[in-house]
Amino acid sequence: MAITRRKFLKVCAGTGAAIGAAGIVPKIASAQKKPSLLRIACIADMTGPYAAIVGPAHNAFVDACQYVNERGGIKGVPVEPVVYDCGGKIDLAVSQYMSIREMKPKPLVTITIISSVGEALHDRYVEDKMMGINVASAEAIYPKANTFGWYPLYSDQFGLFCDWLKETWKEPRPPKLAFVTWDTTYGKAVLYPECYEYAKSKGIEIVGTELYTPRDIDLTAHVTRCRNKGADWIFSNTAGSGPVPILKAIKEIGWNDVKYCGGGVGYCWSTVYIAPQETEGAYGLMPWYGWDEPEQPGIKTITNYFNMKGRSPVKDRTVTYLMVWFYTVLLQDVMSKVVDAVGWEKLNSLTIKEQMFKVKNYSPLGCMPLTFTKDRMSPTKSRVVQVQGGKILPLTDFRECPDIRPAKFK
Amino acid sequence: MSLPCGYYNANYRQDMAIVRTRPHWVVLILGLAVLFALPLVASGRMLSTLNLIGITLILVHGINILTGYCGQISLGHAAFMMVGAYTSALLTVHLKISFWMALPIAGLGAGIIGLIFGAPSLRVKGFYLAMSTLAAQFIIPWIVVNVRPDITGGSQSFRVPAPTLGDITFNTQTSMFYIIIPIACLMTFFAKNLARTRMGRAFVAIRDNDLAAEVMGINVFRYKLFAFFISAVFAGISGSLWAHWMRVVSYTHFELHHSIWFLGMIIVGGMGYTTGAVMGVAFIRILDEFSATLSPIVATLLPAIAGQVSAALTPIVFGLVVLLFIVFEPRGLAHRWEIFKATYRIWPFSY
Repeated sequence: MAITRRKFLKVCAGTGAAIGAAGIVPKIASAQKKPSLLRIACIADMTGPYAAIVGPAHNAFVDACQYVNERGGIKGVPVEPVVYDCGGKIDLAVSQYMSIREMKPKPLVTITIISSVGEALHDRYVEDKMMGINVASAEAIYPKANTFGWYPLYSDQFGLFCDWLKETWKEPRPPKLAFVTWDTTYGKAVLYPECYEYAKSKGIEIVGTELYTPRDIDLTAHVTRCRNKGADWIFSNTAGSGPVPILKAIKEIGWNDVKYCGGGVGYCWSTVYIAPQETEGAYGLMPWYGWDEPEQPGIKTITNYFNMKGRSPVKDRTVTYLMVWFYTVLLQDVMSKVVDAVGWEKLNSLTIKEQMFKVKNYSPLGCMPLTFTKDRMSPTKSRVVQVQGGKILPLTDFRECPDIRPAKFK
Repeated sequence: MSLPCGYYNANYRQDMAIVRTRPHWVVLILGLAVLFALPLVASGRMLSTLNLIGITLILVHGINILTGYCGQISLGHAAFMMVGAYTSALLTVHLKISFWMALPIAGLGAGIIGLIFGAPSLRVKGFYLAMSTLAAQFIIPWIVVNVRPDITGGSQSFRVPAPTLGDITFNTQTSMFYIIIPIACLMTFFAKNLARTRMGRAFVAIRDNDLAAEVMGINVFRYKLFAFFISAVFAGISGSLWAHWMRVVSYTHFELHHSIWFLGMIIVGGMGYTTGAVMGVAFIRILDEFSATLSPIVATLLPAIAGQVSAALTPIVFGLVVLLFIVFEPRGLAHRWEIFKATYRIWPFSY
């Protein structure tokens, strides 16, 4: 059958229109799937044992989301924080997670600021195809699944301290170190056999391990035992007021030639505020820029918002406030990239998780170097700081922490 | 002379029955039907709260048997719960024993430990017994953390698998609801019936006056140990359910303040009443949920004072309600319920 020119043109036009429609319609549908709101959830111990540090989580999320939304949110979609206070109760936190899980729209990321809650949710995140970010408890992050660490593992940061101590140690004999730490999961996160082995490999002699509870206020006996064993350094993984009884005991027994280092995240401004005299000269580990470095542009931005919103310099000026900011800004970047890569319809917790693995040397607001890999799902850099004149100031630049997580998680 | 109107038991069988009238049966069957149909309509959070209430209820029934019926105080029940939780966790993880086998073994294991810590009850009572049971709260966690950390996980958390039955994995709140709530109902029935047995009457006699009980021929030590054993079995079963519901156990989940709050629940509910345990647990757990839910709402409504209010609201609401409750209704919710029932039975003709 002969085809006329008119028919040929009609067929071509029809085919072209069909192809065009095929290209345009999904784009329209995609545009229609753009959500009106995206949520980030947080379960934090704002009124329980860690309230001195975690208390400002709500205010921090409100302020950080305001900052992010003023800068366009996630590709024009505002971010809403959903914050629950579990008061340190793990059972209540699980119930709250159930609310998060059933929320519409469902929060894409859940941040938990208490180790035990992250541990309880580890498997549930996998079953529910959710993504979590938890404080640096190895048990909450590993075995590798859907949970990322907020900052380097406590054991990794202890490793960094060992590296630094070895480099700065001047005497011909090896340095002697004693652990005085909480008798809790958090406190003992620096007491893995791998930590002892790493210290030994760096020529550091561990002369004692003393445990105390968060309720203990007199540690004279513990500290005296460390002195009798000839310790040069005391290392502690405690939070908020945790280091204070150790530092007070050191002063009380007149032990002037010992040095103290607070590990993890626990040694921060709330500690200095509680005991300014005792903390003076003490060392710590800090994987971010802090409040006492106001010249840093990111800290300047956060401080401006902090002041603008009238936040309390006593209660809100903690590490949690900063961390929430850093991770809200990080998630804005990560989620925007997911939308660019796979579109709105595929923006979910699992695609965000995959994008998190592409975070390499990214620093939200220039304040905290972050790298995540499929093998190491918590940040890897930290630095040594010291309290000088009531301020926490850096002694080193950000450095790679050795990977000394427990062998069962490697 | 005529008797007041009402329902009268005409024989011993009627007198002993738990469910005595047709309306009782209707309410019971409807209540159970509604309870077991709840997962069809309830949210995950509500089910999670109900599961927690169920787990806690089993333990508090145990405390009620020990303290409410037998008059023996214990400040170590969180530790007995820990024994059950770790027994179940270790059996299912290391020995690959089914949860259904591990559950009764956990109960028995906790019961045996309860016997050991109940032994001082022969010589001491009251605050002194409280102090001796308190030892469990220190010794048991120490053993879990330090003796074989390679097996128990030591101070680190210990992951526990979800229960399975054939191809079914009970890894959701709904599926766990159908494990926890039937067990809680059975244990409630058992606790209720126990009080009506020879043993239950011996417990009450010991509580009211142990010397008089002994004079009457009751072997006080034996029955005190029975009370500790049964109470700890309840705690062990509760612990096993906790471990498989939470899917992780840590010694920090079972601290002294938990033991104190379990006692608080039975005080609020009403000691010596099975309904008291139910009411006390439900009241405290729901109050916990309520006060935790309230603070973010207040923080959202009043952003200017969000930091101050939200931080303080939960403990203040929680503490204040419990305090007021104990001041104004020291005999517990169950006592109020009994008054209501007594009034209702003769209403509207109180003659």
